[in-house]
Amino acid sequence: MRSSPRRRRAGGRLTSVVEPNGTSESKSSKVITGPHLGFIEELEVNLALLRRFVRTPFLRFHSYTIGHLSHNQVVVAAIDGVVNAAVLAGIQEQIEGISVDGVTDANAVAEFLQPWGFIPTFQISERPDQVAAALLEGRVAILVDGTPTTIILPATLANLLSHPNDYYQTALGGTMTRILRYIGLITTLTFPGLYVGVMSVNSSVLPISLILTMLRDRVAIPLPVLVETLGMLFTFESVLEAGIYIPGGLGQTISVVGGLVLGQAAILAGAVSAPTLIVVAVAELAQFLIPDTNLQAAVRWLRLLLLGLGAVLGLVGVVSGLMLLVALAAQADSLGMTYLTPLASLRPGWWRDTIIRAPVWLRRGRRRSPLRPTRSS
Amino acid sequence: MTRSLSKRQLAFLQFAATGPTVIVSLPGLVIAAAGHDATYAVLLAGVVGLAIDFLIVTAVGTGSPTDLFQSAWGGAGKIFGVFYAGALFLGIAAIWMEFLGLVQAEMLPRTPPWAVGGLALFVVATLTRGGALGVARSTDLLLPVVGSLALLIFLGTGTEVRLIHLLPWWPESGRTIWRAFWLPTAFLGQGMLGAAFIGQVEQPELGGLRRAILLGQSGAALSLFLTVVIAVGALGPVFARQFMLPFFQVLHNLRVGEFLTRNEIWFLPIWIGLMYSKLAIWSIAVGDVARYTVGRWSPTLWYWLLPAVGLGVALTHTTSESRVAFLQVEGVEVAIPIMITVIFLSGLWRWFRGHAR
Repeated sequence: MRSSPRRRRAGGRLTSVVEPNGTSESKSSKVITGPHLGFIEELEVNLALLRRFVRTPFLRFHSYTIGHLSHNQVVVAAIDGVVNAAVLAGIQEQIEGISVDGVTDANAVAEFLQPWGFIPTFQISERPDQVAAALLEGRVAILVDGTPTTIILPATLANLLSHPNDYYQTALGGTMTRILRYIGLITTLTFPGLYVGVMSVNSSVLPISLILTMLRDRVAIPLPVLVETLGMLFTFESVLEAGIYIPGGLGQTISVVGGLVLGQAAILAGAVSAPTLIVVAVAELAQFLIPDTNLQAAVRWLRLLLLGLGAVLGLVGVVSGLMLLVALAAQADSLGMTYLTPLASLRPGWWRDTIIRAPVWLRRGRRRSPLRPTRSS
Repeated sequence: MTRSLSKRQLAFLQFAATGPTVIVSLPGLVIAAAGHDATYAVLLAGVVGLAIDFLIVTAVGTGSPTDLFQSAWGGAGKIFGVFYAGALFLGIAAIWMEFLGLVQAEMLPRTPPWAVGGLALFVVATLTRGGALGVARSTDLLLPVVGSLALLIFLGTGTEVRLIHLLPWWPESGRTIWRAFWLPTAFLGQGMLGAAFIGQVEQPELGGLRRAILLGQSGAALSLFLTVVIAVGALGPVFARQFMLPFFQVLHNLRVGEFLTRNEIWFLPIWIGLMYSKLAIWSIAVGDVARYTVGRWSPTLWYWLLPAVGLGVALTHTTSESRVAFLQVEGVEVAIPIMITVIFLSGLWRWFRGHAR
C-alpha cells in the first residue's frame, strides 16, 4: 500500500557531530587551487562539510523521508533570512508530494522537481564549497542520503555555466574562462549544423579558396555531408561513452587515442573528409567546456536538431532553430527565476557574476547578488 | 493583464517592430523614388514619423489600443477594433512577403516557400507562446548582439562612402523629396506597435512611455538614415537606384582581408532573427485586438492563427515584384494610414468627451 511521505523534524536543525574525515575531491568537478573537498555517500558527513563553510546558526536543515520502500532521508538546506521563503516552501511542498517506491540518487529526486523539457532547471554538485556558495546567494540545496550528488535550486543558465574554479583564480582569469564557456556552448551547439548547412545548402557563403579546399577534400567521399557528420558524431559519442565504463585509468586514454585513431583511419579509408573530422572534434571538445552534465546532455540533443535543420534549410534552418531555442529558454523559469537572467530580461548591472566574473569586492555581497531569488526578474 | 515589461523592453520592442524592414527593404524603395535626395527624404520622414509616434502614444495613454477603443466608443469600439485588426493583418501579410522574398532570393532559391514559411510560422508561434514578456526577453537577448554587429557593419561599410557621391549638399528637387517622403514616414510612424504593449508596462507614466517609444523609433530612424547615406555614398545615386537592396550591394562589395567576403550573406541570418521578433510582435498586437473584437478563444490561438492566415496570403504571391507591390501598397499605403487614423480618431473623441463633461 502506498502512503504519503513522512516528514521528520520539519523545520528543525540537524546538528551533525560527524567529523568530515575521509572525504576526497569530487572526480566530476576538480579545481586547480581552492578546497579539494567533496561530498561522500554519508549524509551526516555532508551536512558537517556544509557547516564548515557556513557556520551561521541560520543555516537550517529540513529533513524528510521519501520512498515507500527505501525510506531515503532527504535534507533541504537553506539560510533563513537569505532564502526566499516562498521558493523554500515550494520546494518543501514538492518534496512532500513525491510518491515513489525508492530512489537511489539525487538525480531521481531532481526529476520530480523539474517539469519535463530539454532545458535543465536545476544544478547538481558534489562540492561543499559550491553548495555553500549557492546557499549564501539565497538558493536551496537538497541532499539525499547515500549519494554525494546535491541538487541546487533555482538554477539559471548562468549558474549552469559557472564553476568553482572561476572563483579560485584572479577575476581576469575567471572572466576569461567564463567567456570561453559561453563561446563553447554556442560552438558545440551550432558548429556541426552550420558546417552541414553551409556545405549542403549555402556553400556560397564561404570564400572561394576555402570552399575549393573543402570540396577537394570531399570530392572522393561517397557519403553525403549529413551522413558523414552524423556518423562521426556517433563514433565520437560512442568512444566517449565507452571510456567511462573501461576500468581504471585506461578509459581516458582510450577515449582520446580511440577518437584520433578512428578519425585518422576513417580519413585514410576515404569514408570521412578532414574538415568533417575537425568540425566534429571541435564540437565534441567544446561540449566539455560546459560544467553541468545535464546541460551537456541537453546540448547534445539540440545539436542534432540544428544539424537536421541545417541540412534541409542551410543557414536559415540553423538561425530558425536557434531562435526556437531562444524562445523556449526565454520562457523557461526555475522556481520563479527567469532562466536567462540576467541576459534576458536584460540587466547589465547583474553581469558582475555571470558572463564576467568581477572581483569579489565589486560584487558587494549577497544583497546585490543577481541570482538572489527574492528579487523579481 | 499583468504589467511586467520595463520601459527599456518597450523601446526594444518598438525598434524590433520596424527595424528589420527599415534597414533592408525600405532604403531601396526610398532611393528608387528619390535618388540623391533620398537622404533628405529620410531626414524629413524621421522628424514627421517621430511626431506621429508622439501623438499616437498621447492618444493611447497608459492603457492599450483596445482600452482606447473601449473608452472612446464604448461597445462601438469593436468596429474600430475590426478596422485596426484588419490593417495589422495586412501588415503581417506584407512582412511575410518581405521575409519569403528575401530568403528565397538570397539564401534558398530552390526551397519551396511553404517549407520556409512553415518552419518560420512554427518559430513565431513558439515565440508568441510566452506572450509579450516572452518576446521581450528574446528581443533583449537578440538586440545587443544585433547592435554590436550592426556597429561593425556600419563601420566597415562606412569606409566605402565617397563624399563626392553625396554632392551637392542641398536637395536637387523638392518634388522628389515629397514623392519619397511618405513611405519612410509611414514606417517611422508605426508607434502603434509599441503602443500595443503599453498596457503591460510596469509603472506606466505618459512621459516615460513616450520616451521609450520615441527612443525605439529614433533607433530605427537613425538606422534608416545611416543605411541610405552609406548606400548612396558608396554606390552613387544613379547606381544605387538600380538595386532593390542597395545596402546589400555595398555589403557584397565589401571585403575585409582575404577571408571575409560575401558579407551580405553573413548579415542575413541576423536579419532573419530580427524578422522573427518582428513577426512575433505584430502577431501579439493583432491577436490582442482580434480577441477584443471577436472575444473568443485563447490569446495563444489568436497569436498563431492570424500569422498562419497571413502566411497563406503571402504564399499566393510568388514573384518578387508582386511581393514588393503588396508591401508598398497594402502594407504601407493602406494598412498604416488606417491604423494611424483609427487611433487618432479614437484619441480625439476620448479627449473631446472628457472635456465635454
